[in-house]
Amino acid sequence: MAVRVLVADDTAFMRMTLRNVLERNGYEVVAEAANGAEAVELYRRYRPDLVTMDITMPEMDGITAIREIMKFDPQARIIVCSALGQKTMVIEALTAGAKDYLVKPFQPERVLEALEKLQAHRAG
Amino acid sequence: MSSEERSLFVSESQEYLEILNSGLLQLEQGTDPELVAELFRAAHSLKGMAATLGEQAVVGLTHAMEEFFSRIRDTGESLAPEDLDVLLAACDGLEGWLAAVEKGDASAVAQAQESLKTLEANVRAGFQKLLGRHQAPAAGAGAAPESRQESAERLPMELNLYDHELLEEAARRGLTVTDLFVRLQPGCRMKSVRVFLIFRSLEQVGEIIKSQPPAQDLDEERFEDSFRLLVVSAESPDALAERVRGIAEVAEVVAQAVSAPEAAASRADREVKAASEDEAEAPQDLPKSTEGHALPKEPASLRESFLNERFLRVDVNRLDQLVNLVGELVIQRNRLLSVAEETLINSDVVEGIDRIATDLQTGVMALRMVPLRYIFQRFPRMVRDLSRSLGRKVELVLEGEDTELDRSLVHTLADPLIHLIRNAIDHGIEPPEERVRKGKNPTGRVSISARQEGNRVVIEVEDDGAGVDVAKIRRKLVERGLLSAEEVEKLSDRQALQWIFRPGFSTAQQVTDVSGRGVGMDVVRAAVEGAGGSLQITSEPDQGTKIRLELPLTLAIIQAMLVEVAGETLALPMDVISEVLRVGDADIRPLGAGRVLNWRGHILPVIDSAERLCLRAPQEELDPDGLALVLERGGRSVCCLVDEVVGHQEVVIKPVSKLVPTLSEVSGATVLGSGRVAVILNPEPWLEG
Repeated sequence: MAVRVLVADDTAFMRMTLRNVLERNGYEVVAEAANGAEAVELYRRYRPDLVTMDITMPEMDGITAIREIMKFDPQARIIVCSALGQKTMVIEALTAGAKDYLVKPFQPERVLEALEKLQAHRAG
Repeated sequence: MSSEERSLFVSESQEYLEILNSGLLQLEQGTDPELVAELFRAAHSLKGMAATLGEQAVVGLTHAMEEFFSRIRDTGESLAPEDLDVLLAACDGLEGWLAAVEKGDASAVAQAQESLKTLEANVRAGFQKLLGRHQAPAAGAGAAPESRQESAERLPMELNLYDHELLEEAARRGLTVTDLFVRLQPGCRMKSVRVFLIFRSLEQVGEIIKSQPPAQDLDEERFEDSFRLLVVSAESPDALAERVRGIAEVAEVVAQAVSAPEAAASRADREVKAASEDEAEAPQDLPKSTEGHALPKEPASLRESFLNERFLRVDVNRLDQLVNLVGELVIQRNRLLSVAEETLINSDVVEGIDRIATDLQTGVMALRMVPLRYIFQRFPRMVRDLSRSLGRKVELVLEGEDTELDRSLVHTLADPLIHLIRNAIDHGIEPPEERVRKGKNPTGRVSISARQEGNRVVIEVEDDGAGVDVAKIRRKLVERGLLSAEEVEKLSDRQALQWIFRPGFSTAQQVTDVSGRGVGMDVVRAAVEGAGGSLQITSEPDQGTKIRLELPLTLAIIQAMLVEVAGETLALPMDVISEVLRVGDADIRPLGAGRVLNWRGHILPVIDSAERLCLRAPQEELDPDGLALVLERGGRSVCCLVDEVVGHQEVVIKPVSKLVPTLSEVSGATVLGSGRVAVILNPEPWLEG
């Protein structure tokens, strides 16, 4: 059974890029969120195995979305995605409950490694 | 790169370049291992940043610079002037490249990259020469710095007295101490965040009591890709290693136990070390092996440094917005005060708002203040280069670099000050032989001192050179037909000197590339006066020249006196008004085509404001009930006539749109308490005469 992922990013282009990388490597993208509020809602509905969460999004930003999700699912496995120069926010996201981080522009190997390690964590 | 990324990249790179520049200059005075280490790190950080962008030319150059630094760091050799020249030229090249990156100009960037390649070759050549000079075997290019740093981490950690105590305490409690070597994957981004994750994971099962390099360096990413930790935990070294391997971007983990007997064995060494160690370090409270441990101080401080920032990077536009809003608040506050007076509103509330608005204004204005250090720090390098190229020996003295000025003024001042310094070195300081002939020290002295005087900032540029040739000025004035021979005769030396600031007036033999290029003293004066400041020059032949700049402390809000002129309300800066006289009581007489005021023994020119501002035709007879204001600043005075003084208030200066043609006397406009618009007068043109 494929690992189920929720992709949250405000740019359609980014979501598409991630979806391609994931689907080509056997992951199932169960939903895409364009903002933090959607991300929380879709997480509730689909209960994915993993989440990639962009930091800067409208409606509700990534960090707040992480906090909201952690409230009802403390076991959530979220990888925060940031741009270069957002170190403080990445740390904030990790403190809020994200388990790992990725820096844009994405390198496919890194994305896959992060997801693998996170999924392995769940098993162990 | 997004523009946000770009500006962050640029500003961080500039900081590193600044460190390199000033550090290299300091190295001239003598080598200092800490300074060299700092220079190495700066070059290294720049290299890292450039690497993430794929900027190979920059990586190559900074790497070559690293080699220089790591060499002298290890051998303690000092750099010769030629080495410094080459390294400083490399810094210039990097600055040029950075400027092109900031502009986003692709062709300029490509050009800069080409020159960086040449500079890299020069630096490498210089390095070979350095090696040849000291006849040491040449280190393998490239491999040396890496392996040297790596080897430091590959060696087991050096433990001091304090660490040994912790180890013994751990052994007593049945805990294991693990020496953990971690290497991150090359190309790992935000390494310090990766380290943060590793630390966090380890801290779930133990305490990190030591790190190599130290936590600060890890936080600021001053490490290649590996580091070493000493961890105390109930878990075994293998378990800890597994934990760290479960984290992404970790390439290698080597864990070994540090056993207590080993620690005890070096007890003998400790007796020796005790003499040099700081014995004030008390042993910490280690966690018990059960749950609920109190966090000892050291590991917590390792983590805190990640989240602890004393300074914040703020977008300048946001700051300006805030300043603007506070300005608007001050205007509204003034209107409120006006209305309150008329309608007797509850004065407590009004007072409260008044106070808060004032405090807010003070606080926000302080945000705009920036120490002069920012421009001063370029000067040593400039002076060095200039004196070398002109064959002069110059000692530069900087004073008062902590003096603060409004941000935009500091920006405006940079070029004028540079020009004044160039002038001082080029035209002021004589060549060493000439100085010796005159009985002076062959090394000339140029000093720049800044200080606050009341609500103005005074900056003086002084040199002990040849002074300005006043006779030459008088000759030029007549030659150029600017004044007649008799008029020139009547000029005092001081007045003659001030002519230097007039446009197009240059007595230099040739407009040298160094201090010429169309940047004349008049441009300096325009810049300074445009900012509401003033400029004065004094000089003694063969003794030197001093140029004094005065600038307002804050720009946007001033205390103003409101006056009425021909039905218009105008605002005059309060600090310039010396006295207010009734025209009828003042000793005003006609002189030539105008009038003068005899005031306390001084004769001051009288300016009819209404006439000068084209508000009213010149008057034959003056209204005795009108007012004569004596304006004074920087030793110059003038008298101006107004109809009435209406009041005084704090006034927020709003710039007048550049599209509106204005008189030189107008420095802005403001909205008064009554809601009407008033023009703000800049008295400089009148004071200059």
